[in-house]
Amino acid sequence: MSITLIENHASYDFKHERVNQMADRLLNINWYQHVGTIHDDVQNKAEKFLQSLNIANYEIKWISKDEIGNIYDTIRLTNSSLWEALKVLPDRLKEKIDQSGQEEILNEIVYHLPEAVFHEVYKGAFKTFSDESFIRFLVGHAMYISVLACAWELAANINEWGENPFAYLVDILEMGHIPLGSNNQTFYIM
Amino acid sequence: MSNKRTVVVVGAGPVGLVAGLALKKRGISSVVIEAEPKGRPRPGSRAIYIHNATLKLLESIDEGLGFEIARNGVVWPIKRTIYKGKEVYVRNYGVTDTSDPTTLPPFTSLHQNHIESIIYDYCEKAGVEFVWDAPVKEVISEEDGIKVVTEKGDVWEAEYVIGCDGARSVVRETAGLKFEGPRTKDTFLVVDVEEDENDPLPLERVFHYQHPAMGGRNVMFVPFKGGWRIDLQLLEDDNPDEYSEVEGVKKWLPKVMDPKYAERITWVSSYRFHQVVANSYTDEKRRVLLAGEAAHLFAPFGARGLNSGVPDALIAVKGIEKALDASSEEKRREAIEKAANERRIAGLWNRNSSSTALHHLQGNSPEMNLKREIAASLTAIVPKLGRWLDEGPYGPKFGPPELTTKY
Repeated sequence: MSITLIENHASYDFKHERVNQMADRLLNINWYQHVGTIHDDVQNKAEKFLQSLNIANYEIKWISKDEIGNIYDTIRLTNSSLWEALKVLPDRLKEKIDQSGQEEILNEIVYHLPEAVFHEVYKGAFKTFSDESFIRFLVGHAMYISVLACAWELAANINEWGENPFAYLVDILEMGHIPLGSNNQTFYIM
Repeated sequence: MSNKRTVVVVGAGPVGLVAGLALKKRGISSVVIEAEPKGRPRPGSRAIYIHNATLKLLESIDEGLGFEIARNGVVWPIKRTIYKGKEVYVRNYGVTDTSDPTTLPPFTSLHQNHIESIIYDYCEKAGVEFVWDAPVKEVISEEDGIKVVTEKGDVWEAEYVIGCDGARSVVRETAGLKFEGPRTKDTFLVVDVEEDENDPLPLERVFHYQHPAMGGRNVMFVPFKGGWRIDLQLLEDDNPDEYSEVEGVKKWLPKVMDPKYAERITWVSSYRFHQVVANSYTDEKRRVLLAGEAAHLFAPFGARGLNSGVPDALIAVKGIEKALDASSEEKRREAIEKAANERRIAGLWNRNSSSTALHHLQGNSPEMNLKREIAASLTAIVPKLGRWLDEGPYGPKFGPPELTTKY
């Protein structure tokens, strides 16, 4: 893994093309810039995300800043079928990555990527939102998506690990919106 | 009395000593003029940290100098960062042999008085000429040279002057050059204590964000040979006098160190740091070059003061050497401009870097406070955030491509 500084902007080389492409996307997002607007494509991407995990019977709902309230009441991931699909992924990814001898690259991703993402996410979150607990939520949320999106790319050339569900979440973030999470069978976007 | 040399160095602090030594080793006729009498302690900032890059420069000026400074300092094997009492980062580099005669250590830490004393010894051995107790009144730049006039009325004639006379530089002022830049809002307190060699503290550099025993103030402990430097960042509403009078220090110091150190205080000072760089490092006639604190003042984060003062002096000397060999006035001016420009770029970069560090440390910024809080909470699973917290107070490490030296 190497890091290049160009005009104080870090560029990471994880020695894996697909991981580098995903990392590059994540590190160049203008986080949360279109929160407060509605864009049909965001809803489409959210649907594709859920479909890629074979999750059906979901309502996708836009939520505004004012409606958020206590984020941990609004988003209760663990009571949903989405979580049942998500929670097993890290272990399965790890197993496949270890089998293919790429655990070193995964270690580099886990070590470098969250911190790299943290700074821009925090900047965007602090600029867009005033609620401290929501800012903390967003930081963790972004790190979670980032690490898993890249881990999936690392495993992606192994049989059966094709379409990256997290790539749809990254699409939504690139559009300046937020795939917040779920509560029961409702998936919230902002 | 009139005296003629090729170069006059004004100021015999560490940067002036380096300039004088470098000139002598290159066979350039020179003199170092110092305002204070020989041996008298001078007021002002006190460096305690020399980077490897600076040790190498010193070694290049006079063989053995870098190694001697290295072996007379300490290299702490452990650095530790603590956030509100929770350790968020620790790194153990292992013990460094500062006496290794073949490899300079990554840095060395010893008091500026000691650094100066070693460089002065090398100056003496080399035969550098000094004039003491001779404050300079003004420099007068002319087309074919420059005059240095002292308060006592002595006049020195030279081709060049290197101004190493510190923050209140007479050379800078009378050459028509100005400092530009702000002053920090935050006040910092610096305390030096003498180490108890019979029962010393473990050799570690420790940074506390919002020390629980100090009402949330940041505190840093940096060891140097024979002592400790304690940096305390005051809060916006603090009265600096309460903390900086020796009796005031004796009240708070035992909250963060063994009480015995309260009886071993050797120096206390409070600062609102200037973050300034001269608008030019040379005058219109290209007869003056500024170096060290005559050219720039930064907050000490990242130890950029003396570590950029040494390359200032060396590059000024090299620029002058090239100018002396120049075949035309245009080439002469070019040589001086090149040296001045490179070091001004370095000054701006160092100033911006220490501003970055100051921003990271800023106590009254809700944005930075929350960012550090979130980062500290995540360090168990994102250890690199611990490293960010650890490195933040020192600013960026790598400079722009125009620099031929690290700082």
